[in-house]
Amino acid sequence: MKPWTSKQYMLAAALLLLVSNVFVLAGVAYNRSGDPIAKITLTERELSSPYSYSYRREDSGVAFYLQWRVHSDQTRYSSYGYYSGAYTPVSWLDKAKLDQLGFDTSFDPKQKGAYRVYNNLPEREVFLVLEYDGESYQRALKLAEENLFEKESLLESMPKDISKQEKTRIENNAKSARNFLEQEQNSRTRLFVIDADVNDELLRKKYADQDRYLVVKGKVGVSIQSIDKKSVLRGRITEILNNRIHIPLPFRDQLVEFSKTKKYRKYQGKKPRFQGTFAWGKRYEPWIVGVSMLE
Amino acid sequence: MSDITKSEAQHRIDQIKAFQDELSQLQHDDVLRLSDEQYQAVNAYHEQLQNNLVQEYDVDRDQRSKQLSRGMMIASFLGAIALAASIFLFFYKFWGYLTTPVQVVILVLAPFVTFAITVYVKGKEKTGYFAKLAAMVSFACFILNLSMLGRIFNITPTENALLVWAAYGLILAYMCDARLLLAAGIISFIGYLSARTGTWSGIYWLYFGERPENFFPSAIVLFLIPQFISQRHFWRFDDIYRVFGMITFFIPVLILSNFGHISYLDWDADIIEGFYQVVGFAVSAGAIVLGIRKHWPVVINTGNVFFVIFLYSKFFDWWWDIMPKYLFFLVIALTAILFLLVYKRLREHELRLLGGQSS
Repeated sequence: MKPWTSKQYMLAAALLLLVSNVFVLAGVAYNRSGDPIAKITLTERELSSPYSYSYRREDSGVAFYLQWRVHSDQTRYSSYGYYSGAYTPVSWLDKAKLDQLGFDTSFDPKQKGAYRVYNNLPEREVFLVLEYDGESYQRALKLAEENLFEKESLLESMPKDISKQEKTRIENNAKSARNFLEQEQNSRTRLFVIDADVNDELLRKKYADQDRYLVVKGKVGVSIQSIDKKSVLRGRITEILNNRIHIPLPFRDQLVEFSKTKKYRKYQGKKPRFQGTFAWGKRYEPWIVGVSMLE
Repeated sequence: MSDITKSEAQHRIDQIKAFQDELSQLQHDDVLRLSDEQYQAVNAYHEQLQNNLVQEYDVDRDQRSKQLSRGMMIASFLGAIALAASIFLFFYKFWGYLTTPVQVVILVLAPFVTFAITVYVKGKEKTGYFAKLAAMVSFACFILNLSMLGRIFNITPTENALLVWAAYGLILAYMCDARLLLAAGIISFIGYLSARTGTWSGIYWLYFGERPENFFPSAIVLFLIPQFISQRHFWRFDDIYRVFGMITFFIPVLILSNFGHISYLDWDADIIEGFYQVVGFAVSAGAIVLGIRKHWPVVINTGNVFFVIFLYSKFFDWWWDIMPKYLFFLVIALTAILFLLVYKRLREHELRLLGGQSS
């Protein structure tokens, strides 16, 4: 290979830089052209700020993540609260739904070697529906109320001759249950993933109410769960793509102090302090369009 | 003269120095005596040749100059890394206070401006160290450019960014004869091709590292590049391609030889681990033999390193728990001695071959 001349290097570099930037910015323009495919107003409850550590503490940019939850077969309140995340098996992501999403579920999950087969199954990119402040949230609220009722009933019917250790445990459980309900009422996210499909048009027609439903891109994986002592397949929502939303000027100035809020604020059941309106464009890439403060 | 490479020019200078040393020794031992005219003619020729080579290729004339060049190379390397990090962190520190149009203009212009500076410095300064430094900064600016546009506009991440970074890294590397930039371009290329390989088998591109076999195509491509595209005009670029090709192959093999369950192969995990252990030993031994045959020292050394890693990791698996530690290290020492003996035999064999050729 003979070295190019300086002119050839300059031309190649300039062309590469130019084409790359034009391609990226044209994609941005296309995403934001016309009417957004979705527009929704979310509060601080549905948004969380990224962790800042090491050199990221010097990052002057402000961004928020969408906070979402799912209902699982095992959704219940324990002494550790109600956990939901990337490893939570989703109750409605059953075998039939996984087949519909294109997963090969022909191998019997009860057979030997099934764990290896399904652990090695690659995750798939699909479209997901997020429901805001809807039935799923009401269900979570009801679960928290039932949990409190159960724990307070235990406290009220507590025999007098039990050990001090057992008494403390029952009292603490009742206290935690009150705290969980307060979090559920005031600070936990009301955004739930409720459906998935490979066809986004279908989902947008089925969930047409733009104030309540949001179609986004995400990833689904498969795992084997033991439900009622039987091995069954359940999907997991492992990630929602473009989940991090950058906050540009002038909204940054309004939200910068909230982005530095300590994480535990949400676990203290405190009410949200602001809300933001977000739009999603043709490429499912979001941006912020408005911010207002809450009393 | 303009047809030779920098490494060939340096080799010629070293050859002249060796000739001069040997000549003075021969004269001292009364084996050879040149007439004054001959001596002056040879000296004048060498002087002229050295001046031309130094002027045209900026090669090192003596040992002291070589040491200084090495110092400059290290300083340039550290400076380039630190300057690139500084640019990233500077932008991080202040970008939040800028409006979106200002951010976009800065990000788009930064690689263009730094590329123009690289071209200017390259034309002005002969050693090339400052141009390499500027080129590294330009590469960092281009990474910053695309990654920050992605953050500002919440763009879906794509592996294609790695491909354009690889292309820009390679353009700068070949323009400035910079091995650090070649390595940066190669790493971006490895990321791109491995991600693409992963997507072909259904994996989301960012998770390509979950299946180490995704790295094999890029390993093969990198190792073969110097075979098909001559790198003789560029200072040890062929070595960099081969070393990266080997590392990209052997590290996944090493991982798979210990964690068979993450393989694409639909076999029992123990069989997969055994299979990759055999592959690791066979290919690293094959690389040593190939390196000896083709006179590729870096291939021999890299093959050696991985052969030893494969061997010692097996020793560790088999014997660390069951052997007294003094015995374990004795076995390690004995295998090292065995290696010495094998290399001694190989060396004698090579010398015999050379002797046969010369007679």
